[in-house]
Amino acid sequence: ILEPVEYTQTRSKFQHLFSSYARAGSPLLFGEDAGNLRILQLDVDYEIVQKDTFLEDSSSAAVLRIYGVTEGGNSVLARVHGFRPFFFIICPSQFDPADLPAIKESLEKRARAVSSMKNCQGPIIHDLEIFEGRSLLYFVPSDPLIRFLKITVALPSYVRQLAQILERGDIDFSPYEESRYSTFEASVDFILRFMIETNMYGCSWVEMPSNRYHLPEKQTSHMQFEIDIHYTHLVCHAPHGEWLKTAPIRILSFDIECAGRPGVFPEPEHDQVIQIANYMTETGKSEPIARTVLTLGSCAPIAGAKVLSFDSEAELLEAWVSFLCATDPDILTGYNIVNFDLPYLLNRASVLHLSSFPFLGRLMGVMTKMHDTRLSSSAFGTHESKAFTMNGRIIVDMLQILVRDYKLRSYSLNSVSFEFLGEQKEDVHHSIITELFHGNENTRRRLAVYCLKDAYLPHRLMEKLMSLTNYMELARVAGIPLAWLLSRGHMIKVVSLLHRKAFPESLLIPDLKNTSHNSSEEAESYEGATVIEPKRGFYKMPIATLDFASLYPSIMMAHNICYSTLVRKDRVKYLKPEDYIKSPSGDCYVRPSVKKGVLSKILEDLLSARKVAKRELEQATDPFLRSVLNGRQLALKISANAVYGFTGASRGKLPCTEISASITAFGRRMIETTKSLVESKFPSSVVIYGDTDSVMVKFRDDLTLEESMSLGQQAADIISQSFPKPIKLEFEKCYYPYLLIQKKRYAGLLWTKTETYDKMDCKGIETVRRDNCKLVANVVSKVLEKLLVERDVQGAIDFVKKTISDLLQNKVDISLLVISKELSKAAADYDANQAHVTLYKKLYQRDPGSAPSLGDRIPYVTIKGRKDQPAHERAEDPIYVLEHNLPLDTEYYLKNMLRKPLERIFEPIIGKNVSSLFEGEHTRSITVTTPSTGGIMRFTKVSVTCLGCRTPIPQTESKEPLCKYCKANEASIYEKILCNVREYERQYAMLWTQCQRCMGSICQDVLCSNSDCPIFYRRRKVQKDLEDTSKQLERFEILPPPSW
Amino acid sequence: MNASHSTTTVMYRQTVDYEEEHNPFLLHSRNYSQQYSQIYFCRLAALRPVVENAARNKWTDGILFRDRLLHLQQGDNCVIIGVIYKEMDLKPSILKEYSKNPAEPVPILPVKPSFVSDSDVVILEDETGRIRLNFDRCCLGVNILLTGTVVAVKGQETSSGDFSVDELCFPGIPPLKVPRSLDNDIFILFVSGIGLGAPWNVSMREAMFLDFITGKLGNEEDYHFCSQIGHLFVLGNLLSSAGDETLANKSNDQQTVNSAQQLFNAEPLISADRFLTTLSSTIPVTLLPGEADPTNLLLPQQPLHHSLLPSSSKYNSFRRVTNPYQCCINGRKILVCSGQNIDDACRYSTWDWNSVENRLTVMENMLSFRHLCPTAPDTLPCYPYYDEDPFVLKECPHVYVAGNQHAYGTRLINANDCGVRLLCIPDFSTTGQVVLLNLRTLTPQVMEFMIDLN
Repeated sequence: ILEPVEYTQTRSKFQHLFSSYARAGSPLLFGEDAGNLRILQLDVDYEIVQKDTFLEDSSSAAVLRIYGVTEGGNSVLARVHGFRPFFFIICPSQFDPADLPAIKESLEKRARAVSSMKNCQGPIIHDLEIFEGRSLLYFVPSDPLIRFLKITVALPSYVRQLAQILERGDIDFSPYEESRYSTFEASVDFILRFMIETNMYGCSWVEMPSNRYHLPEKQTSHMQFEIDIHYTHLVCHAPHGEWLKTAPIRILSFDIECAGRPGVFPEPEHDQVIQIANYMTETGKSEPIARTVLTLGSCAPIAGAKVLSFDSEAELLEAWVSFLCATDPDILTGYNIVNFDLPYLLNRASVLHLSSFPFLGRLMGVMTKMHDTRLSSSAFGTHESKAFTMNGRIIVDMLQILVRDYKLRSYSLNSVSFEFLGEQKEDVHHSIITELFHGNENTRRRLAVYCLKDAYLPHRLMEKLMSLTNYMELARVAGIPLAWLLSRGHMIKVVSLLHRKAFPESLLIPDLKNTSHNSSEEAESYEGATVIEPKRGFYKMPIATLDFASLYPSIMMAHNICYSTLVRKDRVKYLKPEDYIKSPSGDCYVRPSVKKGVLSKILEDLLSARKVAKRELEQATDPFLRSVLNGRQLALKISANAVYGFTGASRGKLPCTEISASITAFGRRMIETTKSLVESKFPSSVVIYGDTDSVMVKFRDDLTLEESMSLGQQAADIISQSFPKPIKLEFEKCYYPYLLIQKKRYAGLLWTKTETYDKMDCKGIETVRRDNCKLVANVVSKVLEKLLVERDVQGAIDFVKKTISDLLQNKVDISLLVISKELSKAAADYDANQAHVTLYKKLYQRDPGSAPSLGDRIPYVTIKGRKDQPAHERAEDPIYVLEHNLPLDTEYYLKNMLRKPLERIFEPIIGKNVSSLFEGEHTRSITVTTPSTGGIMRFTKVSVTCLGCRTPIPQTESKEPLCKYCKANEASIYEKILCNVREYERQYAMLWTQCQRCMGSICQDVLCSNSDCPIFYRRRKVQKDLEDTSKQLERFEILPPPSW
Repeated sequence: MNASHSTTTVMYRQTVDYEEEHNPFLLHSRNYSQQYSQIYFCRLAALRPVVENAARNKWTDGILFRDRLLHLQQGDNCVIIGVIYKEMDLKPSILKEYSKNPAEPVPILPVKPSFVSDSDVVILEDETGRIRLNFDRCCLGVNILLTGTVVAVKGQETSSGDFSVDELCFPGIPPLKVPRSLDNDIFILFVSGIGLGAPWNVSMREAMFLDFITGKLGNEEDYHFCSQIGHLFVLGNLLSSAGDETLANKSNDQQTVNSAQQLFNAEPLISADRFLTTLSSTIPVTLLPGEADPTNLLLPQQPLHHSLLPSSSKYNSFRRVTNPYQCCINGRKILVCSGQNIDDACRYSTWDWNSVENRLTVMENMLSFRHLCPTAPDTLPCYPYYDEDPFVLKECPHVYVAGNQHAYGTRLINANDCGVRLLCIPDFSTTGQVVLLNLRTLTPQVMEFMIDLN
């Protein structure tokens, strides 16, 4: 930590540049007459204070810090004092309350003996009380109250330490003989504990009565105002009604550019940061607060943006910190800032020994440190990323959001912005960036415009996807800080909900010891959801789909499944048979009449809140409120579904295989019951397929859509009655027609009303996988469209044959054949031979300067090679292929890419005949281009051939375009070539003007190297084609026309 | 004719003095490795001094001239110069089609009659950057502005980074010489859009037209008049574009370039050759290609190849030239084109383009923009020129003619004390009209060939 003096000195140097961006806000009134201070809480953290002078005893304490914004747009830091962490143990048997002081004393004494607690000011054990409650886990017949000891300690870290001592039995509470004590709720995060205790939700409003808070003598942060308050004086508003509103939150989206060396992806050890673009907005304002780009070296002005140039990189970086500090954003966003921009800046600053740089947070003198984290979540998979100490600023990296929430073919900013914003983005390769940087003020301006756009796009994505609104609502519903949603998995949401629901009922959550339940041995596996074996086929009649709405949540509610209702097998015998329900997996749960489960209560709350939100959504007209309510109902749904996962997560906080096994067992039985009920109540109906929560029914072969829908509705109503509430079988949609390929793979037109279909619904079919080339996705979707929408089986077959024929005749656009893979580690580190790695080595040999570098995506196509040359050796750069006319291995594409997916689709339709698609007339005509370099071409001599029949033309007549036999057909041969020229000219004009439009300039050359763009290869290919055909045309013009 | 007529007079067709200077539109070698930026760059370089000069003459109140957009400062009242770019969502875009279904080949897009929509943005660009123009304070302009025109703009940059326009200034009509006076009336004839090979073949009208030219129609007076026609211009679309439509259909089925085997039906070409042979044997003919004719698509379109018209190409009186094309007849500079430039420019505004007056205004504007086809290459395909923009007008023609228009129209504009004749030549296949121009007086007249089947 730097001295505050040095810190302010370095800061003031650039402060004036950004003073106009400072938060305005209305001045806050303080004192007795001022109204209560209300802030929207955005983040909470805490610090440990050796002597908290705010407290009467000046003891060691944790001070919680609430970072918030007032409705007027002022940033406020509320420092909350006096809240102390606590946990529970079960009282020793034959406990006498009179022994409390003695126990407290021995605890205090034991704690003092631990070195890390020795220096605590004031008592370590602040309080010891008797608490009467129950354990959340297991229902004990007759449901007796148990006595616990609630232990309140000075600092958060002491909780775990003391809990360990107690669990180990490393303490002597004479006269009690027990040596080990089971602890409860010792693993709850201190911040969550605080929020639960004060009834504070994520992103909620906190009110501070004017006569209860104090202003500090000295500011400790860069926020506009700071106050100190005791935690008991906080008034926390639950996010409902009026308190759904938001405050003007400042969001900074930024992007950096670095000047890399040729062929190497920029590395902070060597390569300068040359530009930082910033786009800052405030919620509720349509215009941005700031569009600023900081550049190294001069840069020509940019309309609508502020350009600030610096002579040294150190100044550039320092200025950016000043900018951050002056503008005081609540949220930092960008694209891949967590794993690229921010680490790069911090590493670069340390290479430059810029001691004043790493202060990106809102607290004065607190250095921003970076560390690696690894988030393993069953829902999101495992992600390694960086984390930063940046108190008070929340990092919302749009890349992470997209990876979490959307399944895409590619997550490059280009393809993401095309996907969601409908725009292609110019992509400047990092090798060109260095060139532009070393040019003049105009080329640097060019780069700055590009950089600004990269700062602007994440902001637009955030708006378009309403990520911030949705995440804020999720934080409100789950009751956890906003930042946790990004840094943690689904579990924490359930933990928060569980605590909030259980504690009021005096149910304490046991701390499961890791050893007892999981880790060492594999968690017991239980049977998953069943699938009714699909009856494969192409169904041309409507197929009604019956769905269980919120299947798992409703099972839990219907059967009162919960930790607190589960009866241990050996205790079932003490219960009356009518008091419990036995699940198909053999576990027993008491009925709600005996004790209602906490999980059911949570789910009921969530689902009824969702109903309310949906109803309000229908009535709401204000677009902002609508987006909030929609985010809310989504958040409620997500949270409800997370509850089941929580009980089954073997590495979770409170796994309970009995519960998750019971739930899936109930689910399986319901699917089977539904099948037999449908088939018995509706004669001649057949259940053709059933998945986790849905059943597909074919009622009869000759029904209209309308009839099927009404039967579906009837079936849903009748069958729902045989299940306990709130389980409900719903009829929502028909598939018509429906192509069932195998389990979890199907496609159909989805109808919810009889007028028009809603969409084509495809599951498990090759449309998004990125290790396929685009041709596959395109052909598959076109075929499905022909089959399902046009209902033209022959048309689909013809289309496939046509595509195969085009492919073999080399008429398919090369961009459709490109596959790209990321070079994620050094080439030498790859074990197996992979196409892109082999290609990388080849490219590096050709030209180390332009070869891709680590982290780049390498696009490639597969070309023909020697016989039995492995495919990976035949990977080649598409541009190189275009320029050298290399022949593509079209048969490889047919056999290894197209065939499997197409076979899968057509097999249910044309059965064994499916191979006829890939054999026959249309596969006979094959065109192979003649390469212009390498191989056999080294031994050939170029001779002039007739443009009509390709026979060589004798040297003496070499000026003639045609041989003497073709001369008679000159006009038609000329026309044929002309026809190609005209088509290529048209394409040339359209492609290159399109690139100018995307780039946003007509006077400058297009530099874009975005190989994700569908026209990237095409525009290059058309240049070559046009050049070649024009050359042919020119041969006709050499000779003058014959005259009389 | 009966030989008993003893008073046979021999009439000689008047000859014109036809000069073709160096044709800047003729391409000698083609190179496509370059991009389109250079043509704008050259255009701006050629026209910047001109427009700056015009602007300094127009705004004499000592207003500040910013030499480059990047030197613009917020708030100052100044003049900036650059190329207009109109951002319009309705422009045909290859990408829009791709996003619908990328499996399809590059589709031939139906071109919208107008690109104008509410979301249009007008931008001014120079070598150093671009700025959005805001026409809140200037009622004139948006409609007549075309992408690619070089203009001077007076106004100031607003706080939101736009440039608020007060007034616009164009390069203005280039200088022209007063032509020498002529003693006799002498006519040139313009015809466009004969459209041979159309399904609704109008062979009777073509035959009448031939008869008229060759002096076989009408009476003595007509013969005499006909002999005063010294030159014929055929302004594009000699062949019907109906063939093109069938090609478009065909390519939808067959999908690839190579399979479009027969673009130009041999039949119409043979009759075109015959037609031109007959004409060339009695009158000097200059043939410009048009959109539908068998030559390249990019402007400037190159002369039709002789092998396509084997017989007529042997006549010295038959000239196959580029589109656009410029020559000098009896001292009058004549600039002719087949009309694609006018059609495309029309898509940039909301005017009624069936009105020939509006089309004449576009032609007049182009003279004032000093550019023949500003919208190329953005929406009008043109060759990617590298070190010049040949479409920049260095001098003003005396006669500016556009073929293949909806209707006949003419306007005489006064430029630099000299009249400039603008002519819209209607499409012959639909109107049966041709236009005669008296070179002495620059007075045009329209002639219509009608066949009354009753």
